[in-house]
Amino acid sequence: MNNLQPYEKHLADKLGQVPVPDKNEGWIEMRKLLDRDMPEGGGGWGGNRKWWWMGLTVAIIIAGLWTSQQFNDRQRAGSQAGFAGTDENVTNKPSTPINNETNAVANEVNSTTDNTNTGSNAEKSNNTNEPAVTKNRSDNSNSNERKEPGSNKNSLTKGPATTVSVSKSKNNSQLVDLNVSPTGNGNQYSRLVNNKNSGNVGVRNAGASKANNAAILLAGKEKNSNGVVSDMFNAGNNNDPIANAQGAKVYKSPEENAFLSSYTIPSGLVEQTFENPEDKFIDLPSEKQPLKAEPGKTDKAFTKDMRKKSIPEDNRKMSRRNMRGIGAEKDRDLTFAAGLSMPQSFAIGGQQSPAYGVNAKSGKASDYVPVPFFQYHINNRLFFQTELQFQSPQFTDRLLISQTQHTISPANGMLERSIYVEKLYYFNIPLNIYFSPARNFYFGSGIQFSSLLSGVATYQDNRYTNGTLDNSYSRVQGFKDDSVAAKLAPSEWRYQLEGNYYFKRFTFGARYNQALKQFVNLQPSPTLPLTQGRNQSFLIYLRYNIWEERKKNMYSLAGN
Amino acid sequence: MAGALTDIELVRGCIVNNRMAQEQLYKQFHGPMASICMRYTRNEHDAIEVLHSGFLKVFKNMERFDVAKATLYTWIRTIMVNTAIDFLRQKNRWYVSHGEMEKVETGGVEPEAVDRLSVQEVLKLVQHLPPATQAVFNLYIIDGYTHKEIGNLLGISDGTSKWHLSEARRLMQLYLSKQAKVV
Repeated sequence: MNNLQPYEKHLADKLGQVPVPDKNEGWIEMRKLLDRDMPEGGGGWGGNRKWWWMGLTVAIIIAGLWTSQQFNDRQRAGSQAGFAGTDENVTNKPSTPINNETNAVANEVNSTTDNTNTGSNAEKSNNTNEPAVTKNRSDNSNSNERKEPGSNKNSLTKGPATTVSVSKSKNNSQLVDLNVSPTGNGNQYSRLVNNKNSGNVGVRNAGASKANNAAILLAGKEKNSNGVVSDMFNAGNNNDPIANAQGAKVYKSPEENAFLSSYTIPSGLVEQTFENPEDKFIDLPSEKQPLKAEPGKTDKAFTKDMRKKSIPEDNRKMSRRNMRGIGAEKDRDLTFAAGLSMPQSFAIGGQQSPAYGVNAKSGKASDYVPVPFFQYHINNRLFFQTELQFQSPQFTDRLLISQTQHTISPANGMLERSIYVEKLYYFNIPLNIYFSPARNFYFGSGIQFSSLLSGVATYQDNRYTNGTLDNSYSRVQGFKDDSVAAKLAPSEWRYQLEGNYYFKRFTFGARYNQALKQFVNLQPSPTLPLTQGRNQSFLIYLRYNIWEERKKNMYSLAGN
Repeated sequence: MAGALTDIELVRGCIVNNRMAQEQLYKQFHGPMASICMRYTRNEHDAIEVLHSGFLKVFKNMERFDVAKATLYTWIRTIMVNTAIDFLRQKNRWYVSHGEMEKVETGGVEPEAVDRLSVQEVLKLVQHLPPATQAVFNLYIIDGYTHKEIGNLLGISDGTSKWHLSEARRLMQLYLSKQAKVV
């Protein structure tokens, strides 16, 4: 204590009685300052920080969308490259000494009885005994032109030349219309070779791959295994359009590939060819019949027919696993999912966790009502989810929401009745968006609409006599749609954050949410301070996807 | 106990930026805080400015209030005094080093001389002291700070604080003596 002179104590006392400005007027000024510097909206998540958090969330969502878009683009590009790479890798193997250099796929091989080359593309073949290959180079533009039989030299004619014509569809794939006119002695060898710069041959890769499949049609006994659709020569063992169209996947036999790679047509082979290929063609069942280019039939219709014929045959060539892709791709394809969730709420902060269930019944079984949910997956990194929490517990502080006092005569007594909120139950509809920064891990954020269903409260009666407490009685009781419930906000919006681990059909995660406004803001009695409370909750959950739907793609059609 | 509960409830309300709680707290502490501001400033206008600036600090930093360390009144009063000092510091360049000044011995004044003055006159007397001297006078005489605390608060030495106190006493006695002679 400082040493003060006697008059200074008097000064201090006097200064303690200094008249001050009116507090009501002061508050008006103060409120203006508060409205300017601290806009209303609550603390915690409220106030200025609320907008900060919301802005951050919006930024995260935008970044997630952008990232997922980038990911999809890469995925799409990778998928196309995968097709191209596969085709290219394998089709290069069986490439014949014939050098494929252009988009022209029409090869004309004429092998006469004396094995002299009559074609014009002999510069690519060093072996003079090799069948001459005439490349009817088609322009690389999408001409959509399909040669009609008989319309030109590629048409089906009884002439000495064997002609393979390939026209290109709009999507740069090539449809093969191989018309081979056997010569009189039937010594015909045709090779159809697509180089990698040309369009796809067949249906499967039509429009799906930019690479080209090599297809070799060998008119002959064993050499025709990789033949392309031919009007005349369909006499190979594996002479189906899809096999040719797939190109890469057809050449399964290393021996065959090796053979094809080094294949040169021996002169003696002439004698081994069938004499009348039309006979074999006629014997084929209808579904094996190659597609013909028909007058007046559009490319689109032609392609459609090819696709229809290709589907069952594709099943035969590829396993379902290969058709559907690897497991990761299966996950990516998830679009809709629905299931049940089992939440477990925890009391946080100053919240209490009474051992009462709904309607103040003992036991907390009512706190574990399964929650149905529904998810919509935009891609494997982003999805939306909504739930229906029919009866979700909400722990709260022990808040005094009402206090009344009654005088008891004639004993000069007083009865004080207080009501404390112990626990609440809400019907919740959350809507969240989830983003995956890493495989199987998701962060979510969203809003939740909460509607008050019921609650549990303690009703405490204190009896005072001459100001001293002489009796106290309390009971725990549920409330719903009554005067107590009317003191609380009937509904509210909450902001929530969530993180989870999503593995196959199971999801394990945690969620935190907080109300944007107070659910109670009242004065229990005129002599008591305000009672205020804002809901917040933390829960963990385990979800299981009962129903899932995945994207339909071209391959899945084959599997069905 | 009831008061503590009131303080806690007020603090909670202010933390969540509740206007009702803020209004209640403002009106509850308005009187003593306004009195402090009047003593530290030179007029009512400055006092209100300091008062509102101080309350704004209180509301913005309410989550830092620790009931275990101080009562709400003490905490708010500390903020208010600091705000007043900052205000004086901004308006008056009185922190030029005074060096180590010696204490000036002054004679005594009868307490009755003070009693004869009204509250307004006493307030005027304090407000007419030089700013630094006024601050030291308030801190030492009214608010009970030590010279060391005053030195730390104002950024001056203990000796300077003592000099300001002596100067304040001298001026006070001078004024009160004049008043006594008039009477």
